[in-house]
Amino acid sequence: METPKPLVQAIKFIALLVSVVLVIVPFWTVIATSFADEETINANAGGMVMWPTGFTVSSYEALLNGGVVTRALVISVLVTVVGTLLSLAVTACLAYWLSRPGALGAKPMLLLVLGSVLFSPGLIPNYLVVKELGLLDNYWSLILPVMVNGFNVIVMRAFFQNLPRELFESAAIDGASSATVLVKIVLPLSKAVLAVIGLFYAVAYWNAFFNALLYIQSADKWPMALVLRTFVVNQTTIGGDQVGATEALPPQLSLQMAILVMATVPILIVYPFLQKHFAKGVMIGAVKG
Amino acid sequence: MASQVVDDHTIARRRRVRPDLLLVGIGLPGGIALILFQYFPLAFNVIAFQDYQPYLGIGQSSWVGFQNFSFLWDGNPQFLNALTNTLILTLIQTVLVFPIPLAFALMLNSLAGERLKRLLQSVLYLPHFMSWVIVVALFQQMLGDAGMLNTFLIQNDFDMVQIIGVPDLFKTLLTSQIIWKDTGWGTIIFLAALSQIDQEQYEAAAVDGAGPLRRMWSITLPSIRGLFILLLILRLGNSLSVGFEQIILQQGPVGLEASEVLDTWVYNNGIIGGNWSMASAVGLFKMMVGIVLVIGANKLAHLFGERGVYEK
Amino acid sequence: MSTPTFGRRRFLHGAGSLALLAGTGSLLSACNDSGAPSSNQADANRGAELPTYRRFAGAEPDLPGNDTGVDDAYRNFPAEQLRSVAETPGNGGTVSGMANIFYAIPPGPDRNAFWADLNERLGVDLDLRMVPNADYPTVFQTVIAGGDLPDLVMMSPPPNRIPNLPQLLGAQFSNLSDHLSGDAVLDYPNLANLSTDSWRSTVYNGGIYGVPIPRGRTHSYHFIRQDLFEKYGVPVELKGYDEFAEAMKALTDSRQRRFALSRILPTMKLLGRMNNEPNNWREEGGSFTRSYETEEFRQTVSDMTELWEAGVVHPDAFSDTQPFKQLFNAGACAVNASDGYGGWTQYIVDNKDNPEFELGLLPVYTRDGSELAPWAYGPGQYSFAAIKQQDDERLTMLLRVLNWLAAPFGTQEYTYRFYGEEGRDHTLDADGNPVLTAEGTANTVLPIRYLADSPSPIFMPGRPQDADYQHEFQSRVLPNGAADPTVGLFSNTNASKNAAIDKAFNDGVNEIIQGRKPIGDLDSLVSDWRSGGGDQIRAEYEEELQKAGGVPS
Repeated sequence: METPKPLVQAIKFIALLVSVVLVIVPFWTVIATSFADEETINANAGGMVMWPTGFTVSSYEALLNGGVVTRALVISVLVTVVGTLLSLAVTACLAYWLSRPGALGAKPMLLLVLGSVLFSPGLIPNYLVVKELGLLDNYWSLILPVMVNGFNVIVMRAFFQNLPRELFESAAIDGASSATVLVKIVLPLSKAVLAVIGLFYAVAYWNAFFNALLYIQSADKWPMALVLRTFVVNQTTIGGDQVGATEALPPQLSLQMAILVMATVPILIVYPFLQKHFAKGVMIGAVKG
Repeated sequence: MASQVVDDHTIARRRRVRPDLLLVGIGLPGGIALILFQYFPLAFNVIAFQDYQPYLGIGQSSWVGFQNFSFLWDGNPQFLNALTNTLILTLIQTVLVFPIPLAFALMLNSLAGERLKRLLQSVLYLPHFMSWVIVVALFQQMLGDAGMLNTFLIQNDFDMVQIIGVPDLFKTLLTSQIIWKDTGWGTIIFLAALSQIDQEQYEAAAVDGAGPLRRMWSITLPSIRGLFILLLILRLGNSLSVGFEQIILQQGPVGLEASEVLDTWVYNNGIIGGNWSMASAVGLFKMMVGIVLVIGANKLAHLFGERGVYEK
Repeated sequence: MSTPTFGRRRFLHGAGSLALLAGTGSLLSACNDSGAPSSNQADANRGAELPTYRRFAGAEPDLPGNDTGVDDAYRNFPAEQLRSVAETPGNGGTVSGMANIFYAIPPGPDRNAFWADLNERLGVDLDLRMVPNADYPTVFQTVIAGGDLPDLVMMSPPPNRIPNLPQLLGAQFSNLSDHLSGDAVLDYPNLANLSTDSWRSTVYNGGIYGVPIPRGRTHSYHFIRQDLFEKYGVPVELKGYDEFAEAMKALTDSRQRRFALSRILPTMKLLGRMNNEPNNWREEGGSFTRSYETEEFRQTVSDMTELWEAGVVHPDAFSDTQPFKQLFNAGACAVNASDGYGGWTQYIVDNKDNPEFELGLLPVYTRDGSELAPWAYGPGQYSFAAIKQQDDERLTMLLRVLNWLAAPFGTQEYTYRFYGEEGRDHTLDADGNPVLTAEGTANTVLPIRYLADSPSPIFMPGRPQDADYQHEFQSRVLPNGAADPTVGLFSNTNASKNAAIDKAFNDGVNEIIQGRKPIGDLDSLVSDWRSGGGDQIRAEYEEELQKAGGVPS
């Protein structure tokens, strides 16, 4: 029978609807709160608001004040774009090498890649390596240390392994070099996984603040994520150390939510462009054609 | 499967005759980056056998043998408690939480409209971008004793529902936060895999009279089983990391007995006090456990005829 | 007082505590003997003389402070400002520094007129590494491990929690005794203007290792929403625990999400004063007792349990993510039981647009209500800035820079470092008080005030009444108080283990307060605390005190 059972459809529908509501409601409060003024927040006992009765963009103004954020945005975009492209290229090449049966040195390399997934080396040694390479306070320190992610390599390799075997065989008979096969056959058929892994890398580059915190010394080179961090960390406690502060910031809560919105929007814009590569049938057409 | 293995070997034999150096050449930059930024720093873990002091460096810090690993045998009740909590959470996260994104991906995939599917996906993966501080605060604002839910209940003369700050419910709370935050994000990779399935198989099966459930069972699931197992094995490799930031932010109300896990224990007892050596020792311990689990799980996968993370 | 010495304590650190540790059994020596160079041993028996205190004769305060720790108060900004530093301190080279920042980072000197101008005034090219305060401890440790130190480093606060601090300072930072001890400091008049209290925790290995970022003895305030107290008819003079508890109930209406108190630990600090707990430690005849071990603390726990049961504390009180400042600003909590005294400025500024908001301070009475409870004095500093080891000439230059940065209230340099230049960074209101412009707000938050600072006066631009209010409050509460006897002593076990045992202890106390464990469990919590490191910390403090020539008082 072709049409799905109505009960199954109904359950599916309800499950998805409930999940969407569970996501949308908190997210809506985030957006509403980011535009709420002090009075509105105070009326909600200092908590999140569902509707910004007192509407203000002062949080966004505060964030954009001084031009630090605009500069940081440019840096973040550059690091993310350059980093993601580099990462994708290097990861695809590595994964391709590891995916070819019997390739020279692939087995030990695979184990090294796998090993890198099982531990994180820790702050101090990472810092020392970056320092020894002379990368401190250099944009490359935000890219090179995280350029290859073992998890992504392994996943991409698995996708490559699932490509139809016949393709490689026919290519081998044609005498195509491995580089040609990668560029002409493997990559065009792997748009979905390239999109996914690209997204993984892009999000990682975009959100990373800790490497910048450790490696970037001049504030002029800070990426967005680190700039935003200085707005949030103030929350915990006022020590006796803030005498003399006279600047009036918007309510801390709306500021935080505005940061969240600003940090999320650029990535949200990227996603729909990637989604089209997940569409069914992309690969089949390519193979048959 | 069997024929595939034979196939692999034939190709392998052919390659062995004339190694494809170009292939190695293009793959190597990634390998070098990995060794440089992952394995060089790893060598630094010798500090696990030192009393490492940052201002002295490795060169001048004194060696103390296995002393930093004493947590493994001295029966420290706090450590054992942290280990127990970690194992319980690991179990929940691998058995209960891990398959949820797959279920969602299947549901989304079976939806008719491509546009609706994309829209839902875009919504569901939003929470991934919230940092844990904000997720925790949101949960508190919604479900806390002074949160929206309870305020509503109290103001309408209902009994309060205590959810946050109850030690017995802590693991449930953690789990639901993880599900809320990362389910949508987790579906992405499965959706990519699902998009690779040959549509003709479905059409052929439909012609043969297979219903949607049957098609899912005999076409969809087998096609992504390999990826699922791969991800599961990788998850096992990190199974002793169960969410540091999320937990440390919420320890206050429920207490250490209910909430301490390995990573928070290391933080509270090592890192805050500048004991990098002990932190390093625990890191090595976790890595060892990860290696054992990955090797074991991979062996198991091979027994069932799966490829696993690496081949035999 | 011209040449204050250490009095009964001579603050011998580092080598002393190391030797102590080596003598207390193999286990501990194995844990703590880090093979540090013992070059400091020679210094160990030579006490450093603290810098001479010489008050800077600057702007006359409207309400003068006094030696009980009351700060100078100014109703309005002094119209006439002296110049405290005659010559440009720097020589044109680069000076690097690292400090924490509590605000959004300002733009760099090329797009920040305030910063560029500051460089001009200092005669240096200031290269500042700014680190968000929450991440400072991590970055601090990493930079130390990297070995490439900036010239000026703010020690991760509080410095007494940095493991092996004396050895660290000895190995990588400059002993400033020759430049600052006794009358030598008079070459740097703005540094000589820092209170003796604030210098105590800069002395290690028998030498002065930094310039303090001074803070007043007041340390913290018990903030209240005066308007809410009035609205619900609750008096501010709450004499004793019973009146206090009664008032807290009157301020609570859980149906409206309104609670009297916000967080647990600050509330316990308030109750601790009421119950006459020691200020962290009590020292009698050379032996130390931690507040946790006292009957007074037990009383505090029992009071806290009662308040929690009564429902007058916000339900999220145990949570680290509770936005207590917002709750206070929103009127969801009427009392912020203990917060840094600088918070006054912040609360006023945050609530500029809230006409209902009225800030007040709660005097705490003893439990029986007979008199004001003793005040717990602060440690005198936020942290201190140490200088990387370098030649004497450069050291002098760096101290001149710090001297400039420590310029006191009422000087041109002070006005510049907090408010920048008139017209560009601030404007003057009708009473001559500076009001930061948008540009000034973004640019002046440069964390130079965490490399050196002057004593902070009581001053709230545009609110002269606040000067009177705070000055009166301080004058009332400060005369009767107790200092933490461990200030100026260093215990390495405290630095490395206190965080863990303190957390475990407080965690257990939280369980008692929430009724999940009986109060009788306090005994086992205390004994766990003692065996986990508490006794060791005590022994180290006692040893330090004795070595410092601390004759039991």
